[in-house]
Amino acid sequence: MGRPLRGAALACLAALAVVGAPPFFVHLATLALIFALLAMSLNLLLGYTGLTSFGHAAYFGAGAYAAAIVALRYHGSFWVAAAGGVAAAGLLGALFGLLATRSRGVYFLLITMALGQVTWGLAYRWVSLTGGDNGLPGVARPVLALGWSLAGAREFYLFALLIVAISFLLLALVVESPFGYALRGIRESESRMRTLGYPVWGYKYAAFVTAAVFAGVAGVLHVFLNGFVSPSDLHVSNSAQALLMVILGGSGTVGGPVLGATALVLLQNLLSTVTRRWMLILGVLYVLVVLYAPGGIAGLIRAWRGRARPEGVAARP
Amino acid sequence: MTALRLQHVSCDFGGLQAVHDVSLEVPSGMRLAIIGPNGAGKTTLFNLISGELLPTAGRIEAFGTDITRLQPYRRTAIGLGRTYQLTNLFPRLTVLENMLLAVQALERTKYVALRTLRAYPYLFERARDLLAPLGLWEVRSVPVAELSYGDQRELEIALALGTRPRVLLLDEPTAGLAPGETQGVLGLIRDLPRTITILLIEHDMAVVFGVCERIVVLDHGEVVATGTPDEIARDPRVQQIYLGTRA
Amino acid sequence: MTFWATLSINGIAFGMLLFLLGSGLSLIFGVMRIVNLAHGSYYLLGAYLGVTIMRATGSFGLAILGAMGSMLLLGVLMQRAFLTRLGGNVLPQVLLTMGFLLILADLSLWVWGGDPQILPIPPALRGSFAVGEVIVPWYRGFVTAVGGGLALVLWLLLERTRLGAQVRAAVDDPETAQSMGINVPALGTVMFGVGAALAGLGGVLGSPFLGVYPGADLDVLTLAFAVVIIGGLGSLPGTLAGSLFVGLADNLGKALLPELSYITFFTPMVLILAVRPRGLFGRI
Repeated sequence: MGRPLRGAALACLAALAVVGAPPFFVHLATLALIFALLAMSLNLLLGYTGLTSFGHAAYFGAGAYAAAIVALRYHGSFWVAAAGGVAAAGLLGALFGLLATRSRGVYFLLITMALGQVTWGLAYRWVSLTGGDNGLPGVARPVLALGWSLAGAREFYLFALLIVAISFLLLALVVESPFGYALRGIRESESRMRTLGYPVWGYKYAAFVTAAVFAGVAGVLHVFLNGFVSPSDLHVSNSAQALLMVILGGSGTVGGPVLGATALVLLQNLLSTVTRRWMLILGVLYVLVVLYAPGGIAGLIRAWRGRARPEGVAARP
Repeated sequence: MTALRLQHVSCDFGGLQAVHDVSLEVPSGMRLAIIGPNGAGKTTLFNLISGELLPTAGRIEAFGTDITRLQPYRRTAIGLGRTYQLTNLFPRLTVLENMLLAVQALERTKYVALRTLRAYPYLFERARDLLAPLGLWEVRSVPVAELSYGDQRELEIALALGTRPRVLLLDEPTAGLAPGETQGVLGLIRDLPRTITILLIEHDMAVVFGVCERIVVLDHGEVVATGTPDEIARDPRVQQIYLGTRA
Repeated sequence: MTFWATLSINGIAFGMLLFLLGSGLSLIFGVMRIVNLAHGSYYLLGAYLGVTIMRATGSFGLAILGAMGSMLLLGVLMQRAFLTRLGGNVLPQVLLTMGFLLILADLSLWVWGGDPQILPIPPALRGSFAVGEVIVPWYRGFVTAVGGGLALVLWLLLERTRLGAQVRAAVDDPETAQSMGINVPALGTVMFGVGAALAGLGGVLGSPFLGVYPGADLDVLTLAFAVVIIGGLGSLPGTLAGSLFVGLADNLGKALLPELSYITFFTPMVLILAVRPRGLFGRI
């Protein structure tokens, strides 16, 4: 199989990319990695299970806030803070999942949005815990084992690359596993899966919690990258952005969201130096993708290479 | 051994009685047809047996086990399987992927999340065993949405067989098929072993008479007649339902 | 006593405003089974256009007409020219509306800039009157009257006209309605236009309450979502109930529990979701 080899080659390329690059570029690349992870986690729900979540930023934010609180208030070490962040995201996912997975389709979208807004509201109002509108600043870059400091842009990038690459591999494995195929079956026909003998709700719940956990990892990386978390990290616009990345990149593959995240970060940061209308361009691009290229950028690449497969949730069955 | 027993099963949709006081005993190995005009409640009855709908009254047993309020996936584990009148497959997945999902459905393998599906060749072999006789192995990499309707109907049955059912509910398996294709499905059903009990909803009487030894006639959610094919063919009430008007 | 009365009046006025927003969303979903994520954008654009027209002509009436008319056209255009290209598939259509959310948000930013705009209350509607000890601002009364009046008109249209009967049939069962000869896609276009116009009206009327600024589209969408979740999609009485509930809960919450004010109506919403996912009056 050429896939793991290709993946390893890409990872090496990505690692080398930052050699000699200016810190601004490295920062962007790190941001792209973090959002790629967020998008991949959402894709597990959207692309593979067929559940469109409009509140995924909640778990990203929960991970960021929990890690920040542990680091700032309890002076926890990096790994303790990170564990706290991931655990918080997972717990929130476990709690919200109980409510959300009882619905599907449009209702699921509404409920996840509502739950996301509740979380945002809490972050905004619970000033004693979250710092309210001001957020939590001052999260320092960690020093890992063997004195490896992540204070530098390059060092943090490589660390993020490692984490995201591992997550990518895990998610790629999950979607190719029997469990992953069951998720796809649920996406295609819940009723058929039920009468074939699958406990459908359990699968949806497991996917939901897993997606929340990986979103939490992204959130932890984000708060340590910027040293700061605020309610806007949890806002519905962030959830919309995650959705955008998945659809733009292509929801039919694990790699698609990575492309979408990269495209978004590039458009947001590079295009914005040329024109202030980058959001408009992004919106038009997105509309064109939904109308004419439902498999996203990844789908276009596949079609160009002659492997046309009707994957991607925006595709009509 | 009674494969399936329904006792005074009713299903009320807030005033509309889709199924009313239906009792049925199906011995193991029997091929039973359920016929009746459109809207008679046949598919509703199947939904009650499969667990996709819960009865408002009555009791359903399979092989002696009370399954009345059991979730669909648990009924499959006991040995129930069904097909759908409106083809219910996984359209964007390939024929093989469809079959693999069916074949792993009752295996512990279906919970594995950290090894790829390809690590379990026995699933692929079982899928092949079910697809090959139907000529579907050659098209195993084709997304189901691109299959011909006839092939889709055959896959519909093949999927249900993947869980090794002891009771198979076939909902209008020949619906919309050309005469040649109907013969193919008829042959498929007739070749099924007697270890499988079959309940068949059908409008095509040739299929009914070609397969079934007993017929139940439903009208307006109630059983109006049961008997052998000959008895039903001669029953004046049945003729009235199909040919005449009813008050 | 006056405290509660004032709160209730404000809550009801706010609720009526929310009804203008929620009814469109609910009807669009009822007939087309999609959630229009750009619904808040109609509010935003309606409000901005209202401000501009008001500044140019000084006429509140023209502002309302202009906002409603242009939003009607926009809604119809969006649905006819874009959504229909996706066939009947629900999810891609919803995703498409999200694209419009982004596009319309940036277009508004481009045209009107980033500063919050204020629509001045027309002189005729300023001031207040007294009911016993309670002081009622004229404007709030006006919004309540408009909202209530429209609720009545919509109800009459749905219950007493042939068009309304067709809409109700389509909401109950689109496929059967279509096979009975009802032109469901055309109804969808009508709903989009009407819904957008109502949201535009909400924009003009609501800007003194809620303001108009970049981001208002999402804020308003969130509120509209809360309304339809609580009230139930596809049901006009449900939307009315949901609107009044959210309006009152939000006002009460802000007054009594300012620390948790954003949570006051989201918590009941979550509870309702947990117990009755279809909402109080949901039929779909």
